Amino acid sequence: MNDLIIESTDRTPAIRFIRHTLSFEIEGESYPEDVAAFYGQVIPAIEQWQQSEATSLKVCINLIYINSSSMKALYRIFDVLDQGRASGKQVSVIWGYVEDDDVMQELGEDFRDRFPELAVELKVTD
Amino acid sequence: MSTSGFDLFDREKRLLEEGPSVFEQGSVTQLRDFSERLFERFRGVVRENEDLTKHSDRQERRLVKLNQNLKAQTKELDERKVALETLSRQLAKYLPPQIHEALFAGRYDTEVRTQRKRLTVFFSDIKDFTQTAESLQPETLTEYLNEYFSEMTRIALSFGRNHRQIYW
Repeated sequence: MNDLIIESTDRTPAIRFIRHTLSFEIEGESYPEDVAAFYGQVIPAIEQWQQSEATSLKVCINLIYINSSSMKALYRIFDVLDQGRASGKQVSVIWGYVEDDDVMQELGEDFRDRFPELAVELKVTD
Repeated sequence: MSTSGFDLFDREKRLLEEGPSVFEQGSVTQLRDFSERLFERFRGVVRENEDLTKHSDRQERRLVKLNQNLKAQTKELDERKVALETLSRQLAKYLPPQIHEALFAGRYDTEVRTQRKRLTVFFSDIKDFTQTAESLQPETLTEYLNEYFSEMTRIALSFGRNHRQIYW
């Protein structure tokens, strides 16, 4: 299980998957030209964590905009996180959104409802 | 199509590929196992689609709202533009074209300061003006003077002069 650091661009979010702190962050806007190519780097890293001996993961998602294809990828990430939780790992998810951004707030609520066992916490960010 | 080899729909596609052989040759146990996995994935896809549709609708609402704001701002800008054009046309009557153009292009320095410049001063007098003015109606006199000033301005501008001050 290696660290995965991807800097943000205009179309892709920053990704920080840090092994020694067992933390995973997604931050920025997500509408990559090639969603599979971008999240094809991220999803295997989460799958490696799920299959590893690691006992926990702190997940922080701060997205400003996400397109439909990226949402499909995010669903996949949540599926893997939920499988990790089901296999006994401790997973915490913070869904950050900018105040008054109803779209991202409601999307966070959707994920919280779809994955109730993950205890997704919604948080207003600066 | 991604060039990375990763496919976001790989789980669904694997099931679709597996299906025909299970239905043709699979045992009851294999069929049951396959049906359960198919059902589970189908449930997942339905949930994803529900959320995707909701998200898409919310984005659309946000876009509509942004579009409305943009239209309102465009309308306001159009109104300001019309007001500015009217003002510009009014000022054009009183300002030399070069100053008028520089002013509206944001290139004219309005700071009050001392300046030394080489000037050419032209004095002219209209022969028998007082007598002529007394014999003309005000409208005709104005037309007559405007014609004179227009022609004098045209001549001054043809020499590249950018200031005119007329006294009489």
